[in-house]
Amino acid sequence: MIDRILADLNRTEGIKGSMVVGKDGLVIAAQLPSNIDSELVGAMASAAFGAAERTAAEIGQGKLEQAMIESEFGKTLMTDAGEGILVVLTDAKVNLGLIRISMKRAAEKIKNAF
Amino acid sequence: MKVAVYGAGNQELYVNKLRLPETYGGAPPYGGSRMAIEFAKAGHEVYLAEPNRNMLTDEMWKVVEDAGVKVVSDDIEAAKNAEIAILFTPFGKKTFQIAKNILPYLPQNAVIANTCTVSPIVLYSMLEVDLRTKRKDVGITSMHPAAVPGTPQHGHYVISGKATDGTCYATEEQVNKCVELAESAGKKAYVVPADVSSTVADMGSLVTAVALAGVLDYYTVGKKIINAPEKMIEKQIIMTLQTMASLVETSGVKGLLKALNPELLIRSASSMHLLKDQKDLDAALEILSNLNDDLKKEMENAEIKPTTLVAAQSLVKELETLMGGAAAKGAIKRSMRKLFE
Repeated sequence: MIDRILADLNRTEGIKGSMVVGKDGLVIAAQLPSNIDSELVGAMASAAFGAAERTAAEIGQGKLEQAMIESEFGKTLMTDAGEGILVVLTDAKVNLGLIRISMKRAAEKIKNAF
Repeated sequence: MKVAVYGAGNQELYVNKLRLPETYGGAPPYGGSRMAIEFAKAGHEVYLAEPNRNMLTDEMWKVVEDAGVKVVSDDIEAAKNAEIAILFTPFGKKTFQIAKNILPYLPQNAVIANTCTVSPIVLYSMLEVDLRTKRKDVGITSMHPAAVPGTPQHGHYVISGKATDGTCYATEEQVNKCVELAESAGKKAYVVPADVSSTVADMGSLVTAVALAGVLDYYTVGKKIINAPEKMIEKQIIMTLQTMASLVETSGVKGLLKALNPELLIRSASSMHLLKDQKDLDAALEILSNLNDDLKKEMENAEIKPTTLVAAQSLVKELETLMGGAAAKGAIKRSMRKLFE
């Protein structure tokens, strides 16, 4: 079920891969480029998302909706998906609005799939 | 109750190598097959899954079958009938593989119980994706015999309950089922925190017992003779145990020995002989004074590798502050799994 949601999401232009990890970093499902260590990236995503969540709370900005790591060759977007985190890897130049909408839809479906 | 025991037990090891009948007593078959016999005699419907018929002699198989145990070679056939699936299987990978194979076939609300070959926490982590998505109903606990089943020493089972951090790997109902099973076979059931079970039930219980005696000796001396504040005594105990554990983790027992320098330790610890009766300290000093030459040589050649001596609970609190409880829990789980990989 979650695999199918990720496969659909990966068809969005600019998305290179996606995964769902538990808040503790456990990889629930992953459809990433083969050169990426999903377990390690899952663990890192949970640490990054957790740290962003804690930072937002500490500075009084409320519940974290999305975190983004913007790098030279692409972006990593992380969004809350209930029991898990939806992680999406994109190309550097992408239509972020479209990707965010796709992620929001996927995250809702993932919440129901747990 | 419907029970499946995986693994009959290595009789070649028990009977010919360890010579259990002569040294400990009891009668073969020992191990998983004996557990199966005892559960069947207690009136349960018991399957024993053992693909290797050569594990037991024909006579031993007859004892098993006469007790009413259904012997099968197919793990999945046994799984379909198991409210409790007990893994008396070889150490490590093989056990994880069997657990993974049987998981989809277990009845609703079944529980998998490890014995001596793997910690229930490690077993859970190996099955975690499936347990959190497809089989949320299945619990993980232990039915650790903490002795060889079939010997007179086996009068109890160590069953894993809620972990010290509050995590439940099995429901109360599943744990109680295991207690009921143990007691029905005339054994005393000890329910201990899941993350403590290996420490008190595995072979390492020898270390636990000796170290605990040392802790209590220092606690008594510190309180009664030195009149030190309890917190100070506890901090010194933490420092000692953390240091030893961390050095074993990075540098092995030989590296630990080199870092602690037995000659120096004897001098320091002798000055802590403050009560007339400190048998454990007497024994420790004698052992350290008479290390054999091979061990001394290995100690000299050992390497003390880079080690971070860290107060684990303080580190956990720091991680929770920085990245939140769930991410911190994941980091701890992964580091624990790496330790056992």
